[in-house]
Amino acid sequence: MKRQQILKGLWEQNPIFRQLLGMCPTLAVTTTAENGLAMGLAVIFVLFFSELAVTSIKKIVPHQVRIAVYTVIIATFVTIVDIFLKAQFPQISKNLGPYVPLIIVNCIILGRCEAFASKNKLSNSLLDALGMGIGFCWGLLVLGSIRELLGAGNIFGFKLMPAGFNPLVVMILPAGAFLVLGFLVALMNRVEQWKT
Amino acid sequence: MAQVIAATIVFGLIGLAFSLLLSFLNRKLKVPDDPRVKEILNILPGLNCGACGFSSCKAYAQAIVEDPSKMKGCRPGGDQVNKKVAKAIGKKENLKKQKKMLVVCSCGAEEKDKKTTHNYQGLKNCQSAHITGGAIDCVYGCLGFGDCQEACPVGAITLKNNKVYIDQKKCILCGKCIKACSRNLFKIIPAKELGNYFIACNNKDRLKEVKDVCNRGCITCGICTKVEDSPYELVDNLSRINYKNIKNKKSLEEGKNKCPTNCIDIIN
Repeated sequence: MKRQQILKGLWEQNPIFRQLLGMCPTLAVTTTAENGLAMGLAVIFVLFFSELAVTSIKKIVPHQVRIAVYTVIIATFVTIVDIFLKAQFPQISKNLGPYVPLIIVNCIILGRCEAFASKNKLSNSLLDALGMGIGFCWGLLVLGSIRELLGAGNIFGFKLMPAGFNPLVVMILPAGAFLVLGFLVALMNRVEQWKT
Repeated sequence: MAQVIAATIVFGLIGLAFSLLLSFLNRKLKVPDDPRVKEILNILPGLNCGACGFSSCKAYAQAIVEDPSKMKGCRPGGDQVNKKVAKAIGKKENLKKQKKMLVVCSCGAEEKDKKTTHNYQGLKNCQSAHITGGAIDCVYGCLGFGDCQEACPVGAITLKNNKVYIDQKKCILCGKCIKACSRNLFKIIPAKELGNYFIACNNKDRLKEVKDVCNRGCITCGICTKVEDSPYELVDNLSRINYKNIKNKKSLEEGKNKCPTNCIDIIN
């Protein structure tokens, strides 16, 4: 049962490829693998601590103001991530730009707080947060890697393509994000069909 | 009532706890700003026009503080602002004194001059009209939907009878209208004390083709080039003023008066 809590986010209910939640950072920041990974780690952090906070105060928060309270909690952790990135990793902070503050309104986080953490006990919530966070992170990483590989010929800045390779610039433009995401979702569906 | 009180208390306590956490972390993870950025920002005009190549005045200030060689000068601010900025970042060498320039629109035709056989029903902006080739018959001239007017950050452009008028006192030479115009009508000319003459036509066709589409187009007759000491010359079937070759005001004025289609204009 416990294993199930963490595994469902990785594959079965993967936020990006199965639930199609949190599309704003998914499409916007995955121009390189590095940016995708940074955004994924930021989301894991925010998701973990938000679910922790939400699930531990779920009994004392009046039902009517719960969404406002969740937003305050999420905004706090996102602000922490934002100032942490600015202080420690200024270049990544510059690359991600406004998409770090935008994690506040990322539906995957509010969605998990509302749908899971507010109804389940602490240990399950934390496992759920980790599963969903890592699921989101690997999705971004794969998306970013494919786009960087095809659009610039490298992954994490390392040249991988042969010298004669002509980069497909469309892949690092917004259109490339939709293309890669579409193909990956199709691939996931195909794999699911094979299973059954 | 009890619910309201409970909600207020819970919300207040949570807010207090988190704001304390944030203010503590903010102190721990503070990134010190270079005070010169703020100083330069106060000197700059703050129009965010983008003429320097940076997205905003703040981006420009940050870039030149980091690397003074990136300083290219602020056109709206002019020499005075640039001198102050150079002093603030401790840059020694003097910037080249900026020449006074003017922006002109090289289509002088009004509504009544432009002929049209089109019945353009598309979006009311020049970009769309230009793609469909619509609105007016002349493929070089002003479409008159005012994309330039919208792009101008200081409101220096007005449209009257489908003709563009530029308020040279307001113009900051940011160049946004040049980018906005689908037909590349805006030209930058050097300011002259003799009077700022320019060619108010952009049509690169010859006599008949021009006459067919516009009453006020340059028909490539070349009369203006034949006056004494003429600074005018014909390039691409279009009269052009060679601003380096201006000898006297008389030749400019005579060319203007002799033009049969009245397409040499002057900025007052």
